[in-house]
Formats: sequence, structure tokens, C-alpha cells
Amino acid sequence: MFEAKKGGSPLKKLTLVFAVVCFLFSSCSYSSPDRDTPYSAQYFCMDTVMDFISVYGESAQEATEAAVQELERLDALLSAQTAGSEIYLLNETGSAQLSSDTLDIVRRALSVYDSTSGAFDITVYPLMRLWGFYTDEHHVPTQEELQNYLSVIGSDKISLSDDGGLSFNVPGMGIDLGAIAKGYAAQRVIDIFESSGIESAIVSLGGSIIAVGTKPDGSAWRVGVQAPDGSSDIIGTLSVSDVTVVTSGGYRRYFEDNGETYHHILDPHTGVPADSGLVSVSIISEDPALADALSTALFVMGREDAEAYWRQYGGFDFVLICDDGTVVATEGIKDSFSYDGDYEVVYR
Amino acid sequence: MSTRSWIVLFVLLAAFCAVLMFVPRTGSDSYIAAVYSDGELIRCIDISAVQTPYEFSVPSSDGGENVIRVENGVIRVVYADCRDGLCVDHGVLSRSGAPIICLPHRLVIRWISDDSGIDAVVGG
Repeated sequence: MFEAKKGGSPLKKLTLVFAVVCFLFSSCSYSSPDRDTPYSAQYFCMDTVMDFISVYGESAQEATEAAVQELERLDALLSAQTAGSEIYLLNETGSAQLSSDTLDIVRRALSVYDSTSGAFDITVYPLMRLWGFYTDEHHVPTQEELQNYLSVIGSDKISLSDDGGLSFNVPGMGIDLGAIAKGYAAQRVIDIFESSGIESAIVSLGGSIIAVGTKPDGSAWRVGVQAPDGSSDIIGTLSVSDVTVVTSGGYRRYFEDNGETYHHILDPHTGVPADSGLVSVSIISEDPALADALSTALFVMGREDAEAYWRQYGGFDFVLICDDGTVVATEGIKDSFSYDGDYEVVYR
Repeated sequence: MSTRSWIVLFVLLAAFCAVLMFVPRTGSDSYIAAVYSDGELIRCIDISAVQTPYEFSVPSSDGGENVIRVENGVIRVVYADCRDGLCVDHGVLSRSGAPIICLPHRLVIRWISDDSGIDAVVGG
């Protein structure tokens, strides 16, 4: 009797164990929505979608709204298409005294122009207008038109003084910061989140991904790399934290004319869409502006020059997709890049 | 343990598994697509629970519209009077793929819950 009371019958023990297991299972399956439910919001800015997919933290909404205000401020300042913006007025008049934000971005852009030997060039603005990429009234230029326009292309034709005075050395020049502005804006979002105490968030600025910290459970964010075939499928995933991932490819903005496809990433040296053998370039870096600019530059440069640039400068990793389907990734991300197939790893 | 105890254990576990299988789930096992218009969430659709295909129209602030078709496991834009038609060309919303975006009409369709484990898609 005493023994039976102390240990219980086998059936009672079994029932007790089962109940405990059920309780634990239920406890693990459902967690507090206050702590684990992220804030989510979407805005349209910089001619694209700013998707705050998941922002965790008590001040998530306030931080997101502050970030959006900053994005809208930068858009009004930097858009080459918005009448009255600093860049619009610069392109109209040929000279301007730049504000500190614009000066920062232009300096970064000129630095990447130098390091990439002109593969990244903000002075492609007249060419982008010629091709009709701003208005969707597309036009395939003649060789004569291209030669005329190429004479006003080149960031080496920009004069920039220490105090931010910028002027074009050749009439007809213009700049477009679109290939670096989103990256610069991404850094502002990161700064605002940091000052607001946001330690976990994932944001898409028009397809460029900001991964702040890790997920609340400590695991890495999983970012799919879009397939370059025009579908919405992904070709692989990157497990990342505290980086920005930016992809450039010709599969989103393009037009067709007489059976030919023309994408929007122009080679500043030739004036025509880059044909370097790459169809997609993804850059992974802690420096969003660098990631943004280099995704365009390496797309123009091609695989061989991209690998050489990475070896020389570092500070980022990449995933390249070549037009023959070959996938190439740098050694820094080989453990975090998941691809359903073989890919080549580039080592230093 | 007696034979009777084993039988009781088996019955209890079987009942527990049956409950897990048939109770409606929430979270990562549902395929829920969200439709946003101009940043506002206008519909959440459990795509995996759709029995009868249907279509609905989303008007845009500029007077245009997108027509969205929903089937079991599938959602897509089948008509849009926007200037580029990229949302229609996108086709179905892939399980782990990029969201459907109509920039001219400020329409976005994306998963808010699926089984892919993908948090975001980077694209150029």
C-alpha cells in the first residue's frame, strides 16, 4: 500500500508523464505575441517599394516611421526626376552647392568610379534619358547618337571643391545617384534603428535587403536570391546577419525592340546595356552604399574583373550568376550560401 | 508495464496525433498571402484553404485596377491596366519567391506565412 502510494500504478505514472509531455509541447508551440510578433509596414518611395517586412522591438513602429520620413527626405533631395530636387536643379544648371548628404553620396560615388575604372559612373544620366529608361518611352540609339552622348559621360569631367561646390566641365552633362542612393538610404535606416534600440529587423528597400541583427531566436536571416530568368523563383539562399544584400540584374527593367532585349544597366564606356557575361550580381557587405554601387559596377565589369576587384579591395562578398548558368561565390560566404547544385568558390 | 498500460498509452498518443493533424494551424504551416494597396493591408488570404477559385478587383488611387485570381495554393494578378504589366507577367506568387509588385498601382502581394523559411528575397 505504502509502495503503491509512493510510486503510483504504472497506468497512473503513464498518464502523468503523458500530461507533462502535452503541457510542455503546448508551452513550446505558443509564445507571447507581444514579444514575438514583428511590426510590418509598406511605403512607396524612391520609385519603388520600401517593405519593412519584420521589425522587432518595443519601438518598432516609431523607428519605422522615423526611417520612412528619412527615406522621403532623401528621395526629395536626390531624385533626378523630381522637379526642384537638388540633383534635378544641378542637372538643369550645370553647377550647385551641394548639401552635406548629397556631397557624401557624390564623394562615395566618385571613389567607386575611380576604384572600378569607370565601371560605376553617376554621369550616365544623359544616356539613361536617351534610351528612355526614365519615361518608359524607349528608344534604341543610333551609333551617331551614342558617340555624341559618350562625349559628356565620365565622372572625371566633374569638378568638386572641398566645400561642396560641384560643376560639370562639359555642357550637357548630368548625374543620377540612383545606383547608390538606396544604399546610402539603407545606412540611414540602420542608424535610426540602432538609435531606437532595434536589434532585429529585415527590410527590403526595392529588393535590396537590410538584415539587422539576427532573428529574435538568434538564428540568421534567410535571404533568397532571385533567379535571373524573369520568374519570381529563387536560385539559392543566404543566411546573413548585420549586412546588406544588394542584387543587380537586367531582368527587372528592360524593353524589347525588333526581337532584341535591352536592359537598363548601361556600360558607361560604350553607352549600351552591359554585356559582360553576367546576368546577376549580388553583393553582401556591412557597407550598404558600397554594396549598392558595386552590384552595378561588377555587373558591368564581368566575372574576371569582379574577382580581381574583390581580391584587391575586399570589404564585401558576392554571388555571381553567369549567362551560361555558372554560379560563383566568394569564400567569405561559402558556408552561408545554400545553392541546390554545384557552384564555384573564389578564394583570395 | 502491463499490456493494458501499453494499450492505453497507444490510444492516448494516437488521439494526441489526431488532434495535431486536424486542429486548424496557425503560423508557419499556413500559406497566407497578404494583399497591400498603397501600403495598406487590404486582404489576408489562406491560400491553402481555398476550395473554389475566385477573382477580385483592387482599384488604385489613379483610377486603374488590378484583378487578382485565387486558387488553391495559387495567387496571381490576371489583369492590370497599368503601364508596364509586370505584375501580370510575374505569374503566380512562388512559394519562396519574390513578391508580386505593381509599382504604377502601388499593389504588392506577398507571403506573410509559408513553409519556405525565406525571410526576404533580394533581386535586381
